[in-house]
Amino acid sequence: MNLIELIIQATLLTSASFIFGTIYNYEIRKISARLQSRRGPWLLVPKPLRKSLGTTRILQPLYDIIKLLCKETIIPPTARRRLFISAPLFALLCLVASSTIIPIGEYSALSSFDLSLVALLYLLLAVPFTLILGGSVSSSPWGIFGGQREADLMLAYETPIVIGSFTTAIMAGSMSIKEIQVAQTLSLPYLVLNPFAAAAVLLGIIGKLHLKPFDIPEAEVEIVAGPATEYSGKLLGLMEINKMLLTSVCIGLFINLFMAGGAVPGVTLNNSLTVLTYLAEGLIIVAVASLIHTLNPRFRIDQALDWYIKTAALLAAVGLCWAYILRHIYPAISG
Amino acid sequence: MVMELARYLTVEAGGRLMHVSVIDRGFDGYEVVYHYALDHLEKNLHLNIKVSLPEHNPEIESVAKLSPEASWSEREMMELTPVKFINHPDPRHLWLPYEWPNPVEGVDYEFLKDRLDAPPTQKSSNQPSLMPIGPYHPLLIEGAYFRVKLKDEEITDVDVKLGWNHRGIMKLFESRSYSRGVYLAERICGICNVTHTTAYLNAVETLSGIEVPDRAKYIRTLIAELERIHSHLLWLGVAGDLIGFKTLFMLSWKVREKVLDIFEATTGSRRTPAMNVIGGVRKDLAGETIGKIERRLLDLRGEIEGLVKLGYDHPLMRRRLQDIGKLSLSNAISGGAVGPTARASGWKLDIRWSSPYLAYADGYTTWDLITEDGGDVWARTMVRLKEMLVSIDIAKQCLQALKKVGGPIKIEAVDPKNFPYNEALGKTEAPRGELMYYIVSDGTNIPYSVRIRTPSFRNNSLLPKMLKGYALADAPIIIGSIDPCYSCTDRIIVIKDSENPKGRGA
Amino acid sequence: MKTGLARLAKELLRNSLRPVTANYPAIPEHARPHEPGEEIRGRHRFDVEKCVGCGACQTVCSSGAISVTDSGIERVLRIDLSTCIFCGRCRDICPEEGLQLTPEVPSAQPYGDILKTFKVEHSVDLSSCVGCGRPTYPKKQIETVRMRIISNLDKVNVDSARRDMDIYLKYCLNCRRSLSYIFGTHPRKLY
Repeated sequence: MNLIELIIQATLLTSASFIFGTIYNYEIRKISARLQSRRGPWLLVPKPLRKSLGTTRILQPLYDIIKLLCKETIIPPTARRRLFISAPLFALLCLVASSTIIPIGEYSALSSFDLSLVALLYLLLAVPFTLILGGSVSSSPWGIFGGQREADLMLAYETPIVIGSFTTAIMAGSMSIKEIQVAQTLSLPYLVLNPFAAAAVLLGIIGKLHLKPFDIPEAEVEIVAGPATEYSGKLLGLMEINKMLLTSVCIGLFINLFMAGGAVPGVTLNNSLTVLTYLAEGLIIVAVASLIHTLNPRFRIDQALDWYIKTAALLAAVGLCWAYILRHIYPAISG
Repeated sequence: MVMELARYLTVEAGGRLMHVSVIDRGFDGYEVVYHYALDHLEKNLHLNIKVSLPEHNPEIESVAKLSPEASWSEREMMELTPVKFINHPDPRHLWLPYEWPNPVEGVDYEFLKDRLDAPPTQKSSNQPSLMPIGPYHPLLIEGAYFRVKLKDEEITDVDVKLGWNHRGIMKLFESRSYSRGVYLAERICGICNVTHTTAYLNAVETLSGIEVPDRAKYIRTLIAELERIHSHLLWLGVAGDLIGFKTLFMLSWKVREKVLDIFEATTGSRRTPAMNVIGGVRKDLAGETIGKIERRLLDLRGEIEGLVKLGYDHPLMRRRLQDIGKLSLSNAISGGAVGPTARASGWKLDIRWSSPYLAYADGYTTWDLITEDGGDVWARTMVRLKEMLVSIDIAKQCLQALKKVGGPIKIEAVDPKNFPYNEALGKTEAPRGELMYYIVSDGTNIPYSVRIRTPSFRNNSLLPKMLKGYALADAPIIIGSIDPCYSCTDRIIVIKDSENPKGRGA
Repeated sequence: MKTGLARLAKELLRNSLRPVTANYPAIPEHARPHEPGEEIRGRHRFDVEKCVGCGACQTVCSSGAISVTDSGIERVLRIDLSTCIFCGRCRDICPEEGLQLTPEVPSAQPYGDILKTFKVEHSVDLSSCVGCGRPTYPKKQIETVRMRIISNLDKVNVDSARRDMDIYLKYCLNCRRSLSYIFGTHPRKLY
């Protein structure tokens, strides 16, 4: 496709990614509220209030971001201003680039070039670094502590994500996300063929999105708000936008690598309906993640590292071996 | 002289020093009163040692080196009154700002110059070594200040400073009659209203020599035990929130709403039930109300047992709560721990058992005393959860007794000119520990002086010992495990200058 | 250990169908607002028939929220709900059961509305002294005192009490003192 089409698709993909991220975050809030006998933001506003509040509040996280963007930004005078401001901006850049690499249905702006998986993992790796940087230069002991914990946790959760993603690349025989997705439509989805790698990547994603039991860098009772303590107003709104995009990119990665990107052969193959099944599958995965989020307290950082190495990294290693076994013993299935 | 007596009482007789009060007698000088509890020898046995000091330059030797539990009480009295406790190990201000109105002589104020923020520098290691937890921090429900010194994530030293919640309560007591004082005592703390009124009325009724009728005793006990259940459920939710378990917070507060509904249906208000008046209770419980409460208590018992099972079965709760915040038995006894904090270290200390009041004595109700070994946060959790079940048991026994026992619920008012005594001590077992009121009267219907020693006052002074050596991630739950109630702890300010002996009340 | 998680998950899923919180802003059809019990101490209500305006509630109020002001021939009893601590002593001490606490609990509202709604008022008429014309006691209080005395005295003393009250209760205290020689109640006249 030529440059203009590329730009249009990239813009559409980024906005769709942002909206999907908003809906996923709404779902986390609604499900965890309902499980705790609360109500959560309205899915369908009752009739008497529709005039003032609208029909649905499903975009509530977006309204919160808009509120933040309209507030005053205070930067501590002893912080390093340039790094403080550019850390979330750099994260935004990485996330916008990543969301153009994740295909949604048949719209795949940049996902079909070789090694797109490597580029995506590299971009996703850069996002926690910006958190650590922003926390460390904010001249607040809470920020430094939060950054330190994020660094420790990053070592833990990136391992299963990376090993699991490369496992699917081995099974599909290519490093391009689009080709991995297409390979699954010819055989079975890799969620079924290699559940170990799928579980490892899902556990890693739960850590990456800072859902309990791994929301250690954001633990408000211990370190106020971690790296985001001194951020306020427009910069905090920017960090929230990054959170939405990160949710969508990570869930999208999982769907494309393990659930055939929403394509159901015979029904929605390479069709616009794939977008709907993509969203539905995303909602199911987020529901599972919210259940885990609601059930658990927070780990301590050393316990989290311990658990990740004993459980998730082990699962990822098992998945890798399983992929090799599949590839050499049953080449017909894995293609 | 005082030191020998103190040594004998503490070391050989095994008594507990509850509090050190200083009463201002105007031209007669100051009176330092040491309150000792010897109720492990004989029920309800207490000893007050009074030392009179002259009005100008009142000085006395401090007993804090001998019994560390007196340390905070003496600091508090040094701020309220011009009495000086010589050789006190730590004479800094506890409530007032560190250097106001006058810096204390003999104290090195260099620590105030430490930087509390962590500016990024070119140097390589930017690790902060001083974390200011408070006075505003999401961990604390009320204001308190912990200066935590760190080395990586391990805590090396903690300095506790309080006083952000002072409201001048002891001064307010001195300008209100006894019957109005009940409503003031109720409002010292939002969680333990009933127990403050019970302790206050224990003291006032001892002063006036009246004994509450049996039916009123049972009703007072019922309300007090319901309050203990509500307080422990509140604590369970807060403890869950402090380890990040928001679901436990919602679940336990959902059960707590049922207790508050019982309060609303019988006393007229969810919190500050205001049932206790001098001489008895205000309202009676009808027969059908008793039946309703019994049915609700049965439901409550099932739900609380579910919460206990949740604590035992959830894999992460045990991992977060075990083996942190250890308080050994010897540290608990020397530091003067009270309440579930003491009982979790294996010390059998419960005022309902050692100085029985109301319907806790033999012949009224029978109940178990829960202790645990271990002294860590998990033991304190288990003590509180099991105590809730014991409280339901006591409440049921009171309800059974109320069906049989008749009689009045109140004795009519007593003329304050005929008070047989002029000072009295009233104690209860609040949900957090031992609560003590010391009331001095001068023959009018307004107390001359009121001194309160709340359980959180004692438990907070043990925090530095409990926090040393543990990770910063464990600090919130360790602080939360003593159930700190800063509204109870900070009550008083009466600023008395030595130049202006009339005193400025605040 | 894992069974504990499974049991918790089952209980949470059951919770999802029965939320215990109400929607906000509360709309009765869609919310289940909590009905306060009848015993709850809420907003005060003066019983127009029974309150005599004696002011006993003001003497016993724990926080000084009740004020009794006389102006002209009207006495206004005013309760400031922002100072009131809802202890209920005023209701307990009222001798005529003229002050009740209803289950309506005053709740948060905009500040302008609070100035109007956070007070309860009641006014009674004062009777004027026949001699000097100054206001004395509330009319209802005088009536109630008269009826109570008559209904509680024995037959021997009722008639003389009635005659005395007919004369004295019309005057204020100062006039009764200055007219005591005429009434025959001056102490010097007894000797």
